[in-house]
Amino acid sequence: MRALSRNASIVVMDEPSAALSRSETAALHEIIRSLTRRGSAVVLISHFLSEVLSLSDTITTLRDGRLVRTVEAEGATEESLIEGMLGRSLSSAFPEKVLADPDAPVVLEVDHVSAPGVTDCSFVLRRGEILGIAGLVGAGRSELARAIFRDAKVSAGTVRLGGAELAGHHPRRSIYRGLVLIPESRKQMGLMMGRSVKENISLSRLDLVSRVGWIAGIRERRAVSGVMKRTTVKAANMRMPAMMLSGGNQQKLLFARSMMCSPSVLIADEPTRGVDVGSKRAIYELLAQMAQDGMGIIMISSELEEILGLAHRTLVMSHGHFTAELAGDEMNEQAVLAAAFAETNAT
Amino acid sequence: MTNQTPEQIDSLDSGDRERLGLRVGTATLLRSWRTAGIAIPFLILFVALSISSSPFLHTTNLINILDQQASTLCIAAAGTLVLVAGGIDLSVGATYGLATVVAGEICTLAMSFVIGGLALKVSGGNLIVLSANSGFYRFANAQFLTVPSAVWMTLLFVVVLGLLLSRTTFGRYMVASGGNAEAARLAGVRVNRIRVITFTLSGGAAALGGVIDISRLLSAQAASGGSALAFTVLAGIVVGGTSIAGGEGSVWRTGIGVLFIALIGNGSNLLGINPLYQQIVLGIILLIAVGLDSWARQRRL
Repeated sequence: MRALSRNASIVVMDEPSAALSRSETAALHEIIRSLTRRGSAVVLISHFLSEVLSLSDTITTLRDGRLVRTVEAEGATEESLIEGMLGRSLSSAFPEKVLADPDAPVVLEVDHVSAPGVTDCSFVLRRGEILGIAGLVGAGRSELARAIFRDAKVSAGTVRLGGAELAGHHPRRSIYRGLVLIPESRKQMGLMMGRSVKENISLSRLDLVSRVGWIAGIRERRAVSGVMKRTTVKAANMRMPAMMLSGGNQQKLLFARSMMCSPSVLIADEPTRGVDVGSKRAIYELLAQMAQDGMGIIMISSELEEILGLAHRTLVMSHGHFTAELAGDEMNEQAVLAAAFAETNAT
Repeated sequence: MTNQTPEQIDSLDSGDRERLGLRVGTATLLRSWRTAGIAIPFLILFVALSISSSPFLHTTNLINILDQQASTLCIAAAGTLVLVAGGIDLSVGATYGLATVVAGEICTLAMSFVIGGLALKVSGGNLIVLSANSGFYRFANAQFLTVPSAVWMTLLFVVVLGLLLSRTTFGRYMVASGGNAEAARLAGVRVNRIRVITFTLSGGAAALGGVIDISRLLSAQAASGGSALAFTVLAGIVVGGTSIAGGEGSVWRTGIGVLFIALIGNGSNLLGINPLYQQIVLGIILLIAVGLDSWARQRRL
């Protein structure tokens, strides 16, 4: 707004819409258009490709601090931009689905669970399955995740992990039993931003790299670099603080921490929020790979295409309970949206 | 519109931040302050005093400083753990809710009233003097290699706590709890339990410090502890670069911090400088330390 009131001839906007809601973004776009009509030049930096395509006249793509190319917006498409950003074509946004064996053993059984924001939710998760949980913001998805993880108080129902009931009132118990949660906000709930990559990764299972509480430095570094490689975390070294990494690498840090726990069930809450296109793809591949390796995965996401592209089966939540269970061909945008907006209890 | 809140900047992902020169520069500077920090000014002061005052470098004087600081060092070492684990968040408006901070502080304050009152009741407010021949006297004053046992005990205590913080799983849990309590809990750290243990250690250290002082001086008075000691301890910790918001800190730097303050006192006594200036200098140093700390936290996006 300050830039507007000064009648600047050049305005540089760095990710102006990253923290805005849909309607605010629309208003912002209107402002940008009026600026250019008035004769100002606008430099818009954004990772929302649709925004870039709809607003720009010319588009410049950078990768690793180098200019890839500058093109007229007319001829550019989302695919061509992604290709420029990645340096390779994105044949498909998602890895190929390898559906879990329908008779695979059940790894997680959620039985009539109620908790704050969650009423009477039941489902089973099988070995190697990716279960998507869709719904609107506030539908109770994260609350359900935290109830299963025993971080929230469960008022009714049971959670069985590998056939045995998961009790206890602290995430620690769940983690040691093989249930891991990647929380929705890596900054508030995931990482110690000021601490090193190494400390962030090994935190959940320090027992594996220590003896009677004494940390064995070499063992820790070996274990950490192992999971860093598997999760493709890019960091100059493992002593650098987490805050120095990009959002995508910070998110992979949480995957590395999870992998170090070798869980049987992973709950990933908004695993690609605030992550660039390249890291998104890497995270999708990671999730698919972890499922193929025999993990049961629950993926909560507000990005519909992500759910449809990755999940083997989808549960839709609305107002704290499930309104639909979709698999195979029924799993499409209309069906998910209809269930997400459902007011009454359909199941 | 061109200005953004830290949250907005963080939610972006336009490339690896390691490439942004400015942020790297600031962060490196801050990290070097945190890791080397007080050691450099300490060395400078030490050398300066060695040159300007001939009695300073005498073994007697140096051992004396350590002996006098024994209890403060013990308490500050344990206090470092409390601050690192985020047990007392002295920076209002930090990440944690104000309510919990206030509650924690009131509990601490209330407890100090209770214990202070008990001490007064037991001693009747009088100065208690002990006999110089008792075994209790030897507790802190027995000599080993011309160094009194109080210094040895302190050294041992500080080293043990230092290793506890930097080399053990418990140390990692403390740092994680103080750095981001919510994230630590979700990563499986029993934050509350960790904090209670740091409080217990701190209480134990205070008791040890008290016993050492009483044995050294053979006298005790209920009013002798209190706010002056608390201030010195806190000043030592903060000057040592431990974050008052938790999540960062080291025991050995707290030790240097406490000794740094002690050197200022000792040096100005030897050089015959007005104690008034001592206080001013100490105040300024503390302000710089706290300022650097909060600046560091603001830069951390």
